[in-house]
Amino acid sequence: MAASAESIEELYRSRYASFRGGMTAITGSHETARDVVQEAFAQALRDREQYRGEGSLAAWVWRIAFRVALRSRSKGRSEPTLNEVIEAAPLPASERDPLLAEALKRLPPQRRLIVFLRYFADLSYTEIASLCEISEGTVAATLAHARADLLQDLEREEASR
Amino acid sequence: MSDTQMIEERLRNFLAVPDEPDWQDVLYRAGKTLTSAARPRSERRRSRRLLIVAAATLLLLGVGSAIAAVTITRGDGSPVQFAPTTGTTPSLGSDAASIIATIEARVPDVLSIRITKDAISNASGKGTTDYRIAHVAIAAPADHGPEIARASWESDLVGGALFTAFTQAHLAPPSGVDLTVVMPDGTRDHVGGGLGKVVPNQIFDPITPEIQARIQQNATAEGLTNVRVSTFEVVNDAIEIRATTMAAPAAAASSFSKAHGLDGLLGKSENDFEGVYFQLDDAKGNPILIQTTAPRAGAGGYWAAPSTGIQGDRLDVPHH
Repeated sequence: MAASAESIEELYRSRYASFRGGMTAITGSHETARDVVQEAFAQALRDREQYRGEGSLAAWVWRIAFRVALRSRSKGRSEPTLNEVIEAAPLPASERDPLLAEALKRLPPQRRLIVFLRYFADLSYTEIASLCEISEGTVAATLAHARADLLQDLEREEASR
Repeated sequence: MSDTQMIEERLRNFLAVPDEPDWQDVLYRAGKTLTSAARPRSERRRSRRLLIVAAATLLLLGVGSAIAAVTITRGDGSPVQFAPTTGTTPSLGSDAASIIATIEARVPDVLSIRITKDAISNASGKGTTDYRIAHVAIAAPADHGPEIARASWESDLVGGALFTAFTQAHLAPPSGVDLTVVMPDGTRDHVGGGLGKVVPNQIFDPITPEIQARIQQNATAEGLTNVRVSTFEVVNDAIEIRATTMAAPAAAASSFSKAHGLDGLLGKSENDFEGVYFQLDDAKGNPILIQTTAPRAGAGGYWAAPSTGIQGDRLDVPHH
C-alpha cells in the first residue's frame, strides 16, 4: 500500500515541530535540521510508492529523515548506525538550558537516543519501539533510567554552582 | 510538579522551532508535479481563496512549470455548495459497476476506475483508518508540467461524479481520488489526488450553444484567436476552451486576469458549470496558461509558464 501525497502532507503539517526538534538534536544546527526535514519529506513524496503500510507512516518518514541526516553527517563515508549518530550528536547550543545540554551529552548513547526520540521527536513508545526494534517495555524502562540520570546530573550541577 | 514532570518539561522546552513549515518548499524539492492530493495549499492561500470566491471556488496558483491545485473545504468543516442549485442529478447508474462504466465512457482520457478500501495512516502517525479510494488511471502525454493538467482535471471530474452518483444511488461514496497517469509508452506515474468537502447533489448549468457563442465573443473581445470550444457530459456538462494569444506571455496573463479570468470568458461564474478547462497558447502553440475547475469535487488547478512572470499566489483574478 503506497502512501498518498495527502497523508504525507498531513503528517508534515501536524508533526513538523517534532521532526525539526529531533533533527536539530541530531545535527546540532537549526538550519541543517530544517534542510534535513524538508529533504526527508521531499524524498518521502518521491518514494511514497515504497511505503508498504508496515508500521506507521510517521515511523517510515522518520527513518528517511534519519537517513538524510546521516548522509549530511557522514559526508560520503559509509553510513553510521543510528546509535553512532546519536552518540556523536552535537546538540545545538542551548542558551535556554545549558545545564540540560551538558547533562544530555553525558547520557549513555542508548538512553540519549530514546530521550531524543521521545522528547525532541515526540514519538510514541510504540513508534520508538518500532524504529529501534526494541520492546515498548524497554523504551519505558530506558526513559525512566534516562530521566533519573538527568535529574541526578542536574541536581549535582546546580548544587555546585 | 514532580521531578519526572519537571525534567520532562525541561526536555520538551529544550529545542525551540524557530520557523514555520513550508510545504511548498517540500514540493519543489520533490521535483515533481503534484496535483490534487499533493496540493500545495497554505492556510494563507486557502483563506484568501475562500474570501475571494465565497461560494465560489478555487483559484489555483501556479509557479513556473509546476501545476498547483487545491481542494476546497469550508473552514467550519461543513460541505461547500458551488452550483447554483441542488436536487436530483441525472443518474449514472444504480450500482457501483454501472456508475463506473458510465463515467469511464464519458470522460475522454479515463482508462480505468477502481474503488478499493485503503488503510491510510492517521495524521498523528498512530494507527490507520480505512477509506474508500477511487483509483483512476488517465492517459496523459507526460507526467509533468502542462501535459498533466488535462489528466488532473479529468481526475477531479471523475472524483466529483463518483461522489455525486454514489451518494444519489445510496452507495458509500469514495472519500478520495488517487490519480495515476499513463503515458504513451505505457509508463505509469502515481500522482495522487483528493476530494474537497462538497455538497453531493449539485446541479450545474448546461453548456448551451448560446453559452458557447458567448465564450467565442468574449474570447475575441479579449484579443484571443483560434478559439475552440467543446463540451462533454460527465454528470452535467463540462467545457473545454483553447485559445491562442499573439501578445507576450506576461501581457496575456495580465489581460486575462484583468478581464476577470474564467468568469469573464464564460460570462458568468465558473462555478456554475460542472467543469472548465481553459488553455491559452502562444503564437507557436505552446501553452502559457492553464486553468481548470471541477467544483463538484471542490477542486481545480492552475498552471502558468515561467514566461508569464506569475509567481506563487500573485494571480489575482477579480471575480464578479
